[in-house]
Formats: sequence, C-alpha cells, structure tokens
Amino acid sequence: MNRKRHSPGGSLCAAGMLFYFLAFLLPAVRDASMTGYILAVAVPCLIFLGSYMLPHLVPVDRLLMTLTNLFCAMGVLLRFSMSPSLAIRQAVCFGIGILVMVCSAAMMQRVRPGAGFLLPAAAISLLLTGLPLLGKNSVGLPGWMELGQSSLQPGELGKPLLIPVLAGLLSRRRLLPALGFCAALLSLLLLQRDLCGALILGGTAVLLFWGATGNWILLILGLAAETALAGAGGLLLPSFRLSFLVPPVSPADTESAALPLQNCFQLVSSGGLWGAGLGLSSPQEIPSGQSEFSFALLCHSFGFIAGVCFLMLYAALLWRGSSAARTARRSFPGLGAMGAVILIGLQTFAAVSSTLQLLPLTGAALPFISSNETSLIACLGLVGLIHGVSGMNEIALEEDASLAMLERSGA
Amino acid sequence: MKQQQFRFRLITLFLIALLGAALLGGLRTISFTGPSGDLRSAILRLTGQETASPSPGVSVPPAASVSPDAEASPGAAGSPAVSPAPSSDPELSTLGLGEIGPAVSPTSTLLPLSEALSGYFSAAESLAPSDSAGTGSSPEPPAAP
Repeated sequence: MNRKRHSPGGSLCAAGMLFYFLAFLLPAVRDASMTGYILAVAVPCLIFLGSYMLPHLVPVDRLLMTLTNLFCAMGVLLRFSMSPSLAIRQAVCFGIGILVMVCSAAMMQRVRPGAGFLLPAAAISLLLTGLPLLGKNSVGLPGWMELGQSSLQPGELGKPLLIPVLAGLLSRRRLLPALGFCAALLSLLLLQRDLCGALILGGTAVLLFWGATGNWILLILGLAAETALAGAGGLLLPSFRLSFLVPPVSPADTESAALPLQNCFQLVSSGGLWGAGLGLSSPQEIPSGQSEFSFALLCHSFGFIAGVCFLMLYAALLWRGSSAARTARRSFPGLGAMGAVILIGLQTFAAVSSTLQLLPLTGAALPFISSNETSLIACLGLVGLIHGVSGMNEIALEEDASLAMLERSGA
Repeated sequence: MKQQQFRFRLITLFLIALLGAALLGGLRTISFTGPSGDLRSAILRLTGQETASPSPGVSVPPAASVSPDAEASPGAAGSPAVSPAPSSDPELSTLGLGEIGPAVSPTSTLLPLSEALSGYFSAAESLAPSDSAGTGSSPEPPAAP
C-alpha cells in the first residue's frame, strides 16, 4: 500500500522508455548502425529493470530511481551522438552504477554509526581521495590518475563513503573529529589543485554541519572560509584557474585554454530554444573527452527548453531526496541522505553554471549525464544512500501500520 | 528533530534556488542569434510582430527593404540597392533584447531562406525597367518599417 503511494514515477518511466527507444532507433535506422539497434533495446531495458523490477527486489524509491535512470540514459544518448563506442562504454558504466547503487543502499540500511564502521570508511575515503597524488596523471586534470589502459578519478569513488562518515560523526555530535576529517579531505584535494572539488566538498560539509547542529556562527564562518578559498584560488592564484580549464592544451597559454569555453557557450546558444535536433547537432564542436560540456551538448541537441526541463528534473530529484531525509526516524540516515542531496545539488550547480559562463570553467561533471564514468558510478552510489534511507522509512511506516492494526485488533 | 527537518527543507530550497539562478543566467545564451528558434524569434512569433510582412504570396525578406533608388539605376538589375533594416526598433527594444544582434535578424523570419531569397530577387527584377514588362507578377514594394 505504501509502496504504491510512494511510486508515482510509473508513467514518467514509460514515457522515458518510449522516448529513448525511439531516440536510439531512428538514428540507428538512418545510419544502419548495429550499435544503435543494440542500445535501442538495452537502454530501455536498463530503465525497465531499474524502475520496475528493482523496487520489487529491494526497497527503493521508484520515482527517484526513474529520474536517475532518465538522466543516465540521456548521458548514453548524448555519447551516442558523438561516438557509438563511447555510448556502449557509458551504458556499461550505467549498469555497473546500478549495482553500486544497490550495494550503497544496502550499506546505508545495515551499518550503524559506530567506530567499527566510521574508522575504516574514513580511512578508505581518505585513501581514495589522496590516491591521485601517488599515481600518474595522464589526463592533466586534477584528481585523475592512470590505471592500466584507462584513467579514473578515485576521489569520486570515495564520495559514497565519506558522506556516511560525516553523517555518522555529526549524528553522534563528534564535531571536532568531523572538522578534522573535512580538513584532511580538503587538504588532499587542494594538494591536487582540485579547487572545484574542494569547494563542492567544503560547501557540502558546511551545509551538513548547519543541518545537524543549527549553529549559525559555524555556517557563517564556513561560508566565509569557502568564499576566501574561492577568492584565493580563483583570483589570487591564476594558476589554479588555469588548471581547471579544459582541455589542458597548454597551461601557459591562457587564450588557447579559454577557447573551449567559448565553444561551449556558443554550443548552448546555437541550439536555440528547440535545439539542432537529434542526430543533427555538431558534437564534434566539443572535445569528446570533456565531460563538463554535457549540459552544453544537451542544450545544443534538444534546445534550451530541454535544458530547463532537465534542471527541473534535477530539482525534483533533490526535493525527493530531501523528503527521504526529512522523514527519516533517526539522525544518521537523515544526515546521510541530506549529504548526498547537497553534494549532487552543488555539483549540478557547478557544472551548469560553468557551462553557462556564470562561473569559471570548474571541471565539475554534470551528475549522471556526464561522460566521466567514475563520476557516474559515484553519483549512483550517492543516490543509493538516499534509496537506503527511503527503504528504511518505508519499513518503519509498514511497522507502524502493523502495530496500529495489532492495537486495534487487541482493543 | 522538527528543527532539523526545517533546516533540511531550507537547504533544499537553497539548492533549488541555486539551480534556478543558473537557469536565469542561462537565459542570456539564447538571446544570441542562433540558427533557428532563438528567444527573440519566439517572442516575435508569439506577439505577431513578425507577420508584419507584405501581402501573402509575396515573399520579400523582412530584413531588407528595396530602396526607391533602384529605379534610377537600370543597370543594377541583379543587384538592387538594398538598405538594411534600421538597427534600432523601439518596439523591439521594449523586449529587452534589442542590444544584441540586428533589430530584425535574417533568422527571425518565418520564411525559409531559399524562398526569401527568390522573392528578394524577383522583387528586384520587377523594379528594374528592362525586366518589368515581361514578368507576370510584380510584387508590391514592401512598406518601410
């Protein structure tokens, strides 16, 4: 009964499946692309499995799941317009991300914020964040490291762990250890010159501290520290800004490094209100590896109105996640879900704003849609935290209902 | 717990407001003159200002008006003297978008480009003295904006 009440995403999911089926099928028919045919079946199947089947197996929020699936499928579609092989890779990461999401939800439902969980999780997340300092960075962007034939961002994979650690410490009112943990993370990120990652993580920590304690002084001090960090990194140290410009063609050459930014902005504006059309856009305008331009590519292909719709869907996702956090019975899951919501929200804002030239090009990946595969898996892991809390809320509601029935029958 | 829920709600509203701010900032991207369907064209279509073109069937691009001087230059049949549309239109400037691009851009027409160009040259031919006798249709010169 409760599950039905909490699953209003059915029609949205069906519409999304139909849209993506046609969106992959039509270019596949036009270009006689076998990859297109495969994706036309595989992507709607992934959406179906995630949105219809998974809620029957594990307690997850179906609307949240549907929204997440629609975002991820859009990422695959955008990659398909660039290169079919990229789309296949993105679809595989989408599938892996769903598995990570299920694991993350199960972790959130089972762990207790004791030392047995907090210490190892904090150590692993610090290790993952600091790992790029030890490895070889062939991408040239902060936070990346080479692993075999490919590159990844290990710090992103630490996000689904660091949020529960922070939530656990805050729920137990261990403010000093929480501050120390955040300081260590920020130091590691700044050592990698990842100013954007540090600002997003710092903002998440500040808002989560305020959400847990309600301490206005802490909030003001935290925001002031964030502003000072942004000012120092972005203005006083131009090398910081240069390190975030994409692609790192020549770190010394400001003009050539600023060129992709112009392309990105023009890509959004040239799409107009309704876009250049599916398969008719010119994604070759932007470098294929630059995940930060996903929103620009979305607006160019489907128009600015589609961009607005997707931002509204992001807002819906944030609100849904926040409602799971608000209805949590205990502080730890509530703070965990809220931390995930804040991190996704700030990352979305950073990615969209830098695409639209409201902020310097930061290097933040648009959650779920970006071609940054590590970010995709990490974001799905973060959503898994929210699913875990949502599942706990549902179980609590069912227990309440059964208790009420027992009391009524006893009376 | 109630206070925490309230703070969570405030944080969420703050995040949504951030996204809204990004959205408002993004509106300036579509004030650029795009290939099709930019904001200016949409507003012009909605307000009907773009349909202030000559009578139906006569396709003259709204971005240009044929100058009366064309009659005084018979040799200029293929290349009529064309004066561009005025760069500042008071009606358009009320939209708040008049600063960017020409007042009426070539992309803001409802006609396809090929049709507009053919109408453009047929109008020029009709105005030329040597060609005006044999042509069946002579479009009216468009009203000056």
